Amino acid sequence: MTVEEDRLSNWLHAITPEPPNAVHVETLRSRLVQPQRKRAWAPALAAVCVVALALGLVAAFQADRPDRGVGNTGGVLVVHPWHARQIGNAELSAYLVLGHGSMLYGLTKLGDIVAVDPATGSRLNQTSGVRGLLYPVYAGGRIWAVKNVGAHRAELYGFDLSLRDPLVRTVSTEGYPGQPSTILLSAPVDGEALYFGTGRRVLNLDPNTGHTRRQYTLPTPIDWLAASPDGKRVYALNGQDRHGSNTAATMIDAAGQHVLARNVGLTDLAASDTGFFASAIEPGHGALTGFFYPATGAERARVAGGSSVPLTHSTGGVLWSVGDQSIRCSDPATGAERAHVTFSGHSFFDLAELDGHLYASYTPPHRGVTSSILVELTPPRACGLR
Amino acid sequence: MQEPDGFSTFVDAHSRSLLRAAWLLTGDWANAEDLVQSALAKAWPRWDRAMSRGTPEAYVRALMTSIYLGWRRRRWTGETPHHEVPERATPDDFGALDDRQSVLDALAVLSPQQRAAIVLRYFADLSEAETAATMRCSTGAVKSHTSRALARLRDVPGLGLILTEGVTP
Repeated sequence: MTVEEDRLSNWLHAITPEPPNAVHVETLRSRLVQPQRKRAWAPALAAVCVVALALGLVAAFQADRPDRGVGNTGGVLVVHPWHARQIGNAELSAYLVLGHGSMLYGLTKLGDIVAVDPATGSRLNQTSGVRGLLYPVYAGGRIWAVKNVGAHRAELYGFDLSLRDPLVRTVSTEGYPGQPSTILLSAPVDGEALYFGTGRRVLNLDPNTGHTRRQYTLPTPIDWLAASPDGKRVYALNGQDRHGSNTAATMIDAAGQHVLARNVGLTDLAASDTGFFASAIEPGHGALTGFFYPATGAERARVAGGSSVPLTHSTGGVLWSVGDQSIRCSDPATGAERAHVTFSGHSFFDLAELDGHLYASYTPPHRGVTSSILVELTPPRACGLR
Repeated sequence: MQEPDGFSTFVDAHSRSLLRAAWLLTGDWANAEDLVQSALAKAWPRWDRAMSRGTPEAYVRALMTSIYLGWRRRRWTGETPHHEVPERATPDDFGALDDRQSVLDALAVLSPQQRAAIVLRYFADLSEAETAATMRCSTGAVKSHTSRALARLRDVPGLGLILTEGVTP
């Protein structure tokens, strides 16, 4: 267990109160379910189900077999057929890998941004004097990130590409009533726009200066932002049910805001030229990824299971979705799956593309969950990475 | 139905710790008691099986987790859309993380599976393998849930400082 996990454990133990009432065996009697009468045909039905399940498992195993097989040879991870190569030994946060120019950018566990040479894995530059940065994005020739600096205030930092000379902008923040403020940052892949979200507000910022161009106020607080590839639209997930899933997707464009979907358990978002994608996780049933038309929000395709958050729409014309132990590549125009791979026992998190290569933050099985390393993945040609 | 041997002793010994874990999962005592009682009622007719494995507490905890995730699923799919966010309980001090409402607010940002993974790993002090067995998923999935949950908790002002800097509230 890492120090951070240890601190969380101590905090939970210290703050959880003693229960006001005890449970007694007498109170359980009324809840006991009486045994049901056995049915004569039940064993036959069970046998049929077992045979069908076995046939299904055999078929699934044979279908997935080319994707399986993970080994570690002399420090170089090999995943067939998605070969993976470890890049350096830098320990990073599992999230938020960004590729731009000839550099990979990642976050340390303390919230510093680091620039990593993808060829050697060496750490070339690092931000200094500010920690706790989140959501690094490329926009306006800078690497922008945001940091909470109080209950109702955040600072936006725009570093040059060598992670120096930051522009600093202060913005007020808000969250759900009675809850900490939320802060979000999103930019299209070409960096021609920059969106900041907090509480119910979405700010369209000048990517060169960080100044606010326009502000939109949504009816409910937002939890995710995803800018479209051309930067002219931004999608937000908002509304929240009691379990943390969102109940609406809202599109904001020059004409204003439009609620596109309602009553869906949305958890993550990515936008393409032809629509937007949203993940929904249904407990006990894995993840679903839906593809929605951009203007109406009508669902046009859905992939069940396998994938989860996060979703990333790439410069290379691929929609990537990373699951607990899987990576899927799909057509960003239709949502149709091109290929996927399952890594039994191996956890990949964020993905970034750079110069036709795919990079991922990867947590080896023997490491704590808060520590990741960078790997270069070579996905199959079927993914269509250009 | 006759009470199985050792059941009453188990309930007396473990119900408080189960209730505390259930409180972290559900967020209030009424639902926590409902959850623990449901799990114990399910365990009652299968108590011999639980005892034969030598880990009745793990058996009841797995039942409790399964029931909790099942509740979430049914309530999630039956969710009624609201134009405004449903009213929430608010703590007295917005920025403070030193009261009990704050722990619930922090856990409320997590998905049910992330919340279950956090409670099992860091409150029930289970290993990744034990958590995976309890949640009936892979250890990789547990790693993923806990990692994503930690990342979200790190964003919570105050709690983020506790986790990353060890600042005591």
